[in-house]
Amino acid sequence: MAQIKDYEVCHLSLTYIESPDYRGVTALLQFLIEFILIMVSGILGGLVGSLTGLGGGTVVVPLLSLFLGVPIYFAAAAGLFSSIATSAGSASRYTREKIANLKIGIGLQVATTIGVIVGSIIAILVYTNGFDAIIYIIFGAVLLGSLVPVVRRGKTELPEEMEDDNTTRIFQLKGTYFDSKMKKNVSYTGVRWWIGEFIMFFAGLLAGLLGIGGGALNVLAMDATMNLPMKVATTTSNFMVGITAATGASIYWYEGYIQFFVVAATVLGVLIGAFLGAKILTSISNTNIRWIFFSVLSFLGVEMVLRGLNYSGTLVLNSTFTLGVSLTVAIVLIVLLYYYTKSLGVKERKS
Amino acid sequence: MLRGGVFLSVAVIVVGSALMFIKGHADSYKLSLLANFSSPSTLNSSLLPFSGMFNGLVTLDGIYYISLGLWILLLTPVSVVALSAAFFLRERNILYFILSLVVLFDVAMAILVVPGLVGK
Repeated sequence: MAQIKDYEVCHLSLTYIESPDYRGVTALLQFLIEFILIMVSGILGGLVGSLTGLGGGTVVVPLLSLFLGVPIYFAAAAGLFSSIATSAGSASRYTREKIANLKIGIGLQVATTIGVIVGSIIAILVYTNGFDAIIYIIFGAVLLGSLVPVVRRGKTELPEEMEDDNTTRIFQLKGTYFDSKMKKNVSYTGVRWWIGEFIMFFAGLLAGLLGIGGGALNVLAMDATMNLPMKVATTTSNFMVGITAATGASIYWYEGYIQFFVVAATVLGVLIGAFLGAKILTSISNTNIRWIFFSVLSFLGVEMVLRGLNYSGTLVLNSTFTLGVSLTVAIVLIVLLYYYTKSLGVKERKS
Repeated sequence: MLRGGVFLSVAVIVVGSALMFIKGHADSYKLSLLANFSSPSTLNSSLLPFSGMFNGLVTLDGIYYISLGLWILLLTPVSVVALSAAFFLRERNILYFILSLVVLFDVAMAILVVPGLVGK
């Protein structure tokens, strides 16, 4: 069992519950409020996760660890269970529409499940040796990195056609789905299965290390490497995230990283958030709303990196200053991303 | 199938959380300690024995309901892979039948073997 550190820098101090002799209604109310606070983080995480396509875990882990003072390994375990919940919730819809490719999903899960086992073992070693700070820094970097595919998403609908290779034949990587927007059947051909497997191993490894589903890297592997349509990539990834997270969660379980109070509240919140997100997605098609969510992600990413540096003792800043830095960097990133996509748009119109 | 598993697990987790709050304690832990995630002596998953599951459920112990709900959630995607294995076997697609089994084997490793290797 990893040693538990009492970080004093939580923005919301919950130390009033230290006294074990609370009785009566006021005490009950305090715990209920705490439960609801965790649930609210879950709702926010589920909402942003479903609107950006990152899944349940990616946003909720930083929210819990940065603002509620939940130790990072408890937060990561809650993230894994959130990923299972949102993946199962949305995957059932996609598999019914037959967009997700079962063969590609199962084939790539071989690599993600091995990756997540390795990742979880690394996580356990990191925590038991007290290097928690590293997890914060890697998590922040992954959050910032996951902004890139989010920005580029929605531009490419279908990949260019490529010639079949050996793996297309052996692993039967051909498929079709009905695209409801374009109102036609789309056929596609997957290639480079082995490279896909290779990337998937690292997607699984990150999932186990950080307590996320690893959806962003899944999509990248299928979209960019295996030349699959975006819709097939995202839906198949969604189906895969569940089993990846479940494999990691069972290892976390025996290690004692599941704090029932936190996980129960988080899972309930994330499911509510994902449900709301799905409702909003269909009713609002305003692309500008995505900018708000990019800013949330970049802010959380920078904040995680700075918190990690703070805990490791490399760069000790007071929390108000850290908050200021995170906000500034987030704003600068947003402005840069805005002009980047604008210039991309201009280029596309010209060509 | 997937959605059913999620609904069932959510229902059980809600029941468990409600029981935990109503009773104010669960598995000899007071609510104050259950809720205090930054205390070293808070209840985590390595301190809850599986052998107590049946007894815990019968005595309406909230924490065992939460635990059961989380396991239902965890096994939901696993059951989908098991179904896929059966599907590929029926289709006589031996390659994908074996790949499904490999995935199930990895999950079984994670549940049964890895914890013993890493130790406590």
